Amino acid sequence: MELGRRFGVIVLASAVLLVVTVHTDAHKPVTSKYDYNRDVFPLLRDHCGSCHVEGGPAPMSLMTYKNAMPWAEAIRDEITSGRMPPWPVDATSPSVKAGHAITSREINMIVVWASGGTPQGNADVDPPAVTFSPQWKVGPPDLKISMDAEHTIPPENMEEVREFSLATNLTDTKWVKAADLMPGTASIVRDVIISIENGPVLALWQPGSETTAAPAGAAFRMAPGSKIHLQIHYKKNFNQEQSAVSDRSTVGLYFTDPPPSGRELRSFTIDPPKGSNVAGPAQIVAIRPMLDRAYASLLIEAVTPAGMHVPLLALHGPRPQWFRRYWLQEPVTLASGSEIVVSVTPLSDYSDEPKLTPRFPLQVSLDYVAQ
Amino acid sequence: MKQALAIFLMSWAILGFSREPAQQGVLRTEHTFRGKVEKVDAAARTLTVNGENVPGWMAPMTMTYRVDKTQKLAVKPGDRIIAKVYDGDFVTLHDVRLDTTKPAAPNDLPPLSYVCTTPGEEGVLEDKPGKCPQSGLSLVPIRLATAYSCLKVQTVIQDKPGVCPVDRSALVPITAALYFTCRNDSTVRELEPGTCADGSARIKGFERRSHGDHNPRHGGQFFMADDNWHHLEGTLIRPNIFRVYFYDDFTRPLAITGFSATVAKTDANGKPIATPIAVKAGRTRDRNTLEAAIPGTTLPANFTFRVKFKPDDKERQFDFAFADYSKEPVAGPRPQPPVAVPATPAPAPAPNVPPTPITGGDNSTATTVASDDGLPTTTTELLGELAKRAESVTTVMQKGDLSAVWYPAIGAKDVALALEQNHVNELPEAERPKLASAVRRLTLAAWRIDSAGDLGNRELLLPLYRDFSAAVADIQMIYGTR
Repeated sequence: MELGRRFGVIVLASAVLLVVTVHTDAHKPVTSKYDYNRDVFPLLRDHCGSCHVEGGPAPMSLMTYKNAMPWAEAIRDEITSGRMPPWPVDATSPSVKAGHAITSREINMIVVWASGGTPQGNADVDPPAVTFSPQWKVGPPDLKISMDAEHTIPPENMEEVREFSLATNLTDTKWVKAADLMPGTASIVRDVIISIENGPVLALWQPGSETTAAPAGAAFRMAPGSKIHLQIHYKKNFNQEQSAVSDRSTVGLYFTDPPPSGRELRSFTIDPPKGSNVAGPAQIVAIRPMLDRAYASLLIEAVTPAGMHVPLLALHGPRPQWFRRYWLQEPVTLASGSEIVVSVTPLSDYSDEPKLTPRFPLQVSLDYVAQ
Repeated sequence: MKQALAIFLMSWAILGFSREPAQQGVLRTEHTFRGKVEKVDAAARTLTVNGENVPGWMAPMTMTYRVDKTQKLAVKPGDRIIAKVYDGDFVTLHDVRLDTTKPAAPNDLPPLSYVCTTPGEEGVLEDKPGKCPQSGLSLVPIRLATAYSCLKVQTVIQDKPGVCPVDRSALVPITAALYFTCRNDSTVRELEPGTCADGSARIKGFERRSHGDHNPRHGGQFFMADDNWHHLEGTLIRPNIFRVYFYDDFTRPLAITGFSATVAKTDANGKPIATPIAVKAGRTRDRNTLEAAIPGTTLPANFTFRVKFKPDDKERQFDFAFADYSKEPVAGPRPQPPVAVPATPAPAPAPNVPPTPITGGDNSTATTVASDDGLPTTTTELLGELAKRAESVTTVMQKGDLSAVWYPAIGAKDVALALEQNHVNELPEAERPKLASAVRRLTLAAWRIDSAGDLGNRELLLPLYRDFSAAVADIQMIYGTR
């Protein structure tokens, strides 16, 4: 790379680094035919930009060449391991809503760039600016409920899982088709389980994930006086180490009319490797795998009483930290007695996986409407 | 491309490091050596010297040198000396004399080295001012130093070991260019300490240098440890000496201080067939080797080498395979310094022909962009090409040439991508998601093979090879050729 191509000096706030600057120009010979400005930026924007943007949930932005280049090796590692982008639905899986799979060609372009000298391309034309603008993803909620007070993660803690109970003050029954969350401090809200207290899970919230409404005719019943239960996983990033960081998030609920059938969305949970039988005719609308560790693959299928195998979900390289509810594009109706079978294949090598404290046993919950 | 680079750099490496240049009548490059004498052995005519960095010749290290025979050893421990040294001879000091220049203080700066900054000439490194060989521009002075950085992220470089703030892993050593800048004006870039316009002292800055090549210097098999710093070349010397050479990330000889290792004979599948043997410091001139005699060795021979770089370090495994005894490269005219890989990918590898053993590049340097240009255009031809390249992967794996397996793997990935991009519509609609899934798995596996091959660990490669092979088989099944 040319000596004249300079990147910013980053002075980190540690005592040691106060006297040391960082220059990220590595003088790598360029072998990549893909460059950042023309080829890679659009891919990073579309697949990573909801989090990896200045002020966003991720600790580093990838939305400018200057920001992305020093992370090239990590980008390559995350992408080729399948950890990023965190969308593990296999192409052979029954379709799920709000999918944003990265294609093999796109993977290849990014890795070629990251491996081949990370060329910038035409430095005179910067890619358009990408900004972080948190918003309710499916429009203004029908009901917004904020945490009663800020929660502060003290300087000595990097990570916490906290439970919160939020009063809704509802006086009549409501039917919930979707729930979303507006983090107070996006950089520390890692994931949230939004439930009706002592009731169903309304949403599994992750930064950057879409908010999907239950299909027509399916909704969660919320009785008068119900409370919202939040399980928030806070995690500071390396820039926030030794700092107190506070959050006061807000839940948004979206109501709908009572289902015509009058039946609410319910769920049942199975603990692999043990399977489970569907108690009565049921229309499966969504699936929530919760993992104890990373897997090479996870396959969920139903075996009908007639012996027919009905695929429900196929994941490639799912990670426990990226749990979500997969809403089926086409709900699947199963006869009573159908068996749900979950098959998992461990990774061949866990040495490169981030060291996470397991939070859940391996469980798969299926959301359904009784038929 | 990696192959082209490998061949070019191999020739450079061979020519530059193989023999005593003077004995061969080949032009040799002189360097100036400085260091502090630690021990004098008059009888053996050797000096143990804590040497400073000599760009293009040797990294800073303490080692024992022969003294030029015409020289009287009029030095004592503690003296600072200056001497002449030559390419290709890493153990002899010529014209040794006392260094009467100002004694080096502990904070002395690394000496100046000279590099080209023009694209395509990034690999040029000299210890004297001059011109870049291709562009003719003046060489640019820099100071090469060992700095410490996060393994996967380039946002942190500092002058001392420490912990990466991003992932809490230990910082790893890297070769960097040291310069001095101002806290309030990052455009300042000087080679000396000094004072900034605002009166404050200049602060150190480090610029990461490009990674060295991965070409063997002694006809062996070349791998890189997962810290990207330690590099090693395993050789099998007739009749039964297993020897490993160590290098830093600039492919300069690296002292084996604190290293401990064992080697065990294995079968072709990597299973031990003999008790591990402790390896000891070799007597090679660079003092950067570990070796062990392994009686009864027959060809082809396979060895698993396990090494710790520090007593409390983790043990790393490297699997070497030798179809023949290692042969020291033959010297020739002094080559040009290495140059960058051209931006246009090289043609696809020839079917069933593994690349030249030991390839240049690694995860962090000029690497790996095998070609997707020049591929055949029809589905039948592409499937044939896929089969050939997959077979080549199998062949290379069976030979144990782990550092070469990336090439056909990346090539097969390119064929699969071409199939998906240009020929998916020839499949029934129900088959298309299967192809997308298989191509994705193949793409990921190929890139992981590219990374793992550099590390030389068969156990890491085997599951990736299985994923790769399964994806290839799925593609062939989808197209009905299996």
